[in-house]
Amino acid sequence: MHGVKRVKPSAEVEKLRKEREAIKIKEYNNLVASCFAKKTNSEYDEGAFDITTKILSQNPDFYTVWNFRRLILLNGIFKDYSFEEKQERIGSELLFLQDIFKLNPKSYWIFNHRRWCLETIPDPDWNNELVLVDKMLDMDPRNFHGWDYRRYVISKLTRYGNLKDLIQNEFDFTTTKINQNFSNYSAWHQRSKLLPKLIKVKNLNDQEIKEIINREFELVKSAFYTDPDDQSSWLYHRWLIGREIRHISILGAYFNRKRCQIILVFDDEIGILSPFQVFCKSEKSSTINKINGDWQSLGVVEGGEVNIGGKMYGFVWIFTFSNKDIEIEDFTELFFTVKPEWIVSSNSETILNKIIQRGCTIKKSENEKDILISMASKTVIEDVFEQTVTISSDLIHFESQETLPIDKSERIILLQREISTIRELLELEPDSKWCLQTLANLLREFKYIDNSKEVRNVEEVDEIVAIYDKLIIIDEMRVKRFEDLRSKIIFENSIRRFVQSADDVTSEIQQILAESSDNFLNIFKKLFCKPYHLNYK
Amino acid sequence: MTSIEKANNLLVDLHVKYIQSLDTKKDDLEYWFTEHLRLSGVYWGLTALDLLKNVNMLNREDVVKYVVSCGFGGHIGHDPHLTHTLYAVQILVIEDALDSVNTEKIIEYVKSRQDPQTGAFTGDEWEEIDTRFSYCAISCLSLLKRLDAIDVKKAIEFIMLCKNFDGGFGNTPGAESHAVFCCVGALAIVNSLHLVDADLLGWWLCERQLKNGGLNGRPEKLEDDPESGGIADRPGDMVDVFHTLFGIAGLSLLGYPDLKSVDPVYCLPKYVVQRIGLAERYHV
Repeated sequence: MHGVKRVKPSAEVEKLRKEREAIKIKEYNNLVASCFAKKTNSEYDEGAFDITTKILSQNPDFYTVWNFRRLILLNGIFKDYSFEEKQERIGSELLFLQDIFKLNPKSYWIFNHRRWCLETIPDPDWNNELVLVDKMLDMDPRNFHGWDYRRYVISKLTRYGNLKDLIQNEFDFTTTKINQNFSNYSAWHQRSKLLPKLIKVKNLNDQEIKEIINREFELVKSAFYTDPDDQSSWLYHRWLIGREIRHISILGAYFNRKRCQIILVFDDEIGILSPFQVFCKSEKSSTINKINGDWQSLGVVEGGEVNIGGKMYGFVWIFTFSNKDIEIEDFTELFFTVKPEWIVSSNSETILNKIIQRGCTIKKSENEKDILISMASKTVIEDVFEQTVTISSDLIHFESQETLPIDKSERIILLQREISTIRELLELEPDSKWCLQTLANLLREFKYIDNSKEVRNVEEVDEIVAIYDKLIIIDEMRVKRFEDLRSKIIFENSIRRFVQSADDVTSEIQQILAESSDNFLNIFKKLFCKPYHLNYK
Repeated sequence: MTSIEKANNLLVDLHVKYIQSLDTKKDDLEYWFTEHLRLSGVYWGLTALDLLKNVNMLNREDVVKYVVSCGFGGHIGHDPHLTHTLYAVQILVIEDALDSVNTEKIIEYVKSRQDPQTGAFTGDEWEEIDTRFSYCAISCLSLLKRLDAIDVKKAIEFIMLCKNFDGGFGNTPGAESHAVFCCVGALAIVNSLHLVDADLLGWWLCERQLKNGGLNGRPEKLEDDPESGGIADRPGDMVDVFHTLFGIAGLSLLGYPDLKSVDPVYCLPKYVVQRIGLAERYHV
């Protein structure tokens, strides 16, 4: 039972209680029995209605009785009613709901019935509902039924009122609630929904948008300065800053002559929605021909379980020719194409933003030992795409949570400003875990976004690692998470350094592949597997 | 046994006795007030017993007979509802007794609850919309291997409309994150976990844990054990079968000894999910 304290009563008290309880049970069960009898006989009259009133006053979660009550009204009582009578009858129904709401402010069924009443009443008074919901949220500012109902009422009011005013009013309402109590997370949440709408509906110019966003930063700053341990403002702050979407790229593409395989290595785990296309040009004809085959991720190969109903994700994808007896010697060129809509990222942070096409020329005199051929970027050959491809219907990339209109250059300025704001607060609160987490996150984002510098600043990475080291000590309950984040940043940076320091990355990787002979797949996995990995075992 | 040892030991026999005793409390008014939760109570109790390796403590024949008599309702004679439909199917899957009901009728009912325009699911004919019902529909049809009966793409689209600034999911579009299990679970079943912002949601979820070890459902609230390991909602409070199941399931996920493994997506014992061949569906 939610929030009901466990107490052991004395035997005497218990005996008396049981006797009283037995009488109540008998009365209640008699009511339920006659209610169900009337329901079975479709008796939609005042007698049945009164019984539902008695039951629901005691037990508002009895959904079947609510259903029956609505049927009584719809199929019986309303039958001969005039407009006014119906208005009055549902009016008293709303008063009944207010009474039992006071005893059960968290019952889904009370709110369901209220909505039904408002949808059914000939002339609904939505403004009165708004007054009521104000009171509800005064009593309990975190009641999510109350907030849900408020959104519902507002959505109805948009039919009558001015949309701009309504959104502004709602936005101001969240300001009031937040000013009453900075830790009202429900209000911050509501604000995250309203702010993008407000900007859109007010048709603001760039300067005005900047001002409104800056005011948000001021509000959130005063919140976390007041109480740096309150998480509401920190979560909101992270949303305000937003982030640049990451782009997926191919780290390497190789053709393995001996095995008749193409190996692609991505910098993120991806799934294939529609098979990437592979083509060849051959000596005999100058036309481009499609090569048939299967794409499999490394996980599939290793697990030995193919097509177990789900999509497979992997960093490494291998294409094996269907016809292994194919005369590769006849090829002059081999290439493949990947279009953004053919892949799906394993996470919502990354997308492929361009068509990738890579290929290699095949030399006749190629040495048998030289099994791997690097495939370089190619100019996209348009006519290749004329061949139709069925794209899987579950290709969906949602942008459901509305984001703020902040472009890259503005975000760089914001990040710099917020980094110094948080650093100032950190001087006052050196052990605030929220402050530390936020600073690490801002630095990570800044490091990613500010990629104008060719060579990464090692100190930046060291600072982030040092913050996670500190968090590991301060917040022992979340040690694993901070260790994950710490190894992620170290890992990302190592890969980047490896790529930047090698004159020819391709030859480095080729070297690794050549040396590892048949086990090269495992090397790839070791090199590119995520440091943290969701795995239901 | 010291009190600390006692607190650290799961008293299996007592939990089993507690669950068995649930149907004998007929002299409590509360027993009658919660009649609409009888079928769900059977699911919570039976699953908890199974995880405690005591599934036989409830008579299989009685359980199956009772479930069949509920139809799609929460108890005998109660109106049909999608949540109760899922509970019924879950119980029958545990008891390996799906053949005792007309599954085509169940599939028809679940299908009829989807709004073709939005992809959302309504709980019953009175049209309440909630992502909890999306989970009920998707889990139920997945257990019956008939996800083809609904528009899965539309169902996902609706769930994604409920995604929030903190990476969590609400019960309806615009609502505060309070339906994370249902939405993430549904996405897991239909192989769409890539749509979850794992880093952000991971942060939000980690921060649900409070200093006493318990977890709360929303920021800046008290702990509650649907997500943590007690048997009442919090220490010192009254016990109930709902929190007993989620407490035990939580312990099972944490690898507590002598408990069967629980499947975190279906909230069923893992061996049950494996038996019907679903265990690998969400194995990324």
